Amino acid sequence: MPGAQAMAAVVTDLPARRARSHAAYDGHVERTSADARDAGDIDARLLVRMAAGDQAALGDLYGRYGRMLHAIAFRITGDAQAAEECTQDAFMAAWRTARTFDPGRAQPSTWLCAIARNRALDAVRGQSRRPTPQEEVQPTGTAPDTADVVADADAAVRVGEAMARLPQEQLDVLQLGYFDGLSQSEIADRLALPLGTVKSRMRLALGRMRDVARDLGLEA
Amino acid sequence: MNDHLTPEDEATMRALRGALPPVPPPPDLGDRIVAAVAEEEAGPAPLAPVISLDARRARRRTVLASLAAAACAAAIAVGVTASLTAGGDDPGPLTASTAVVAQGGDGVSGTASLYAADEAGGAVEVALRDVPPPPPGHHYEVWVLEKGSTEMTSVGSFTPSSPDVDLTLPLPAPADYAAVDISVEPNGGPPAHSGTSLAGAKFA
Repeated sequence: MPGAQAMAAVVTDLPARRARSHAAYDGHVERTSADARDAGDIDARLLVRMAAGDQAALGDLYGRYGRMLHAIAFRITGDAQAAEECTQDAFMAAWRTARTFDPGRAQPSTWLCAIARNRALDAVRGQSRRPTPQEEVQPTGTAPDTADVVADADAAVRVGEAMARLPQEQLDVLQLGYFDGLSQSEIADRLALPLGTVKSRMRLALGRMRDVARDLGLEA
Repeated sequence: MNDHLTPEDEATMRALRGALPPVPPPPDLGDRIVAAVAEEEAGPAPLAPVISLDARRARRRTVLASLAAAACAAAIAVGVTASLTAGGDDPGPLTASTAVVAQGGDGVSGTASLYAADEAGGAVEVALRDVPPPPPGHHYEVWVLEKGSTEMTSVGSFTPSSPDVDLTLPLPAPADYAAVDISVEPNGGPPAHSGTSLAGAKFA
């Protein structure tokens, strides 16, 4: 069958095409604004697909931002269960409102982080308003200062947004080291990349994140 | 080669973790969110409109296709292939059509057809038979490849609940297309092609 031979060539070519695609990404690693635009374009396409009812696109969006949004929510709520609920709420809200997203007003990552931040702050405020059973009152306890919570939330969002603007290949490496605690060798094994490539991407990613840390006064 | 971060990078990592704690979500949270959306979309009493495939082929227009589980299940129950379509425009003149061939030669079969591929609003129609369920935590994605290009473009994704899948998907731009590919993608994975294909078709 002629089609069989033709298709065999297409399938055989796939890894090579993928590799070339990654090589194209590598060509942009020094261009922060272009990278941010590329990341925004990827996210915007995912939101368009979500608006059309493509649930797999929601899964892809979660793959890009799930850990960041969960970390933001955890930073604000300080509670794993609440962070999980806020993360789920944020992605559900993103799904429902994807068609209303206006890329002219904000980056998708900014929009998503803001949703997670607001959900988490709502959770904290709801907790503080909830009547406390008398037996749970701690005489020496102090309620977190609202201004501190908001400041912490904003710092977490700034870090999350900065991560979101990294090129995908740098983000993949950083997230595995940052959230999963993998060593660079383990990341190389996980992603089937040479260790030198992982180290290069990690160095570039942390170099950019260092600027954010300095801006936020986080650096020791 | 030394596996450790430089002291400067270590310090940055520590500083960042002070602001954004490295607390990962449960591994299945993403799947649970997608499942919750699917359940919400299905509604309390899913009703799958059963439409003649021939009639649908005659009038369907493209949208991105994600096959809602409940709707598909209902469609399968009556032995009808499932497809998400919208609008009533004619897909335009047939540009090319060829056989879909499974990777490895066995399994999925079908046809891929291009309609008005050299015009704005063109579409690719993919009719697949004997489609296996994707591996757990995975879905399928449809890609097109322009002649002379080395990068494929995603045009939609689907999770079949039936071995028979008919999709009509919008082409990203008027072009001379060389191939269609159906890939296996992890849920929540990166947007790039996974490199693993279920099947594909090459146009002459």
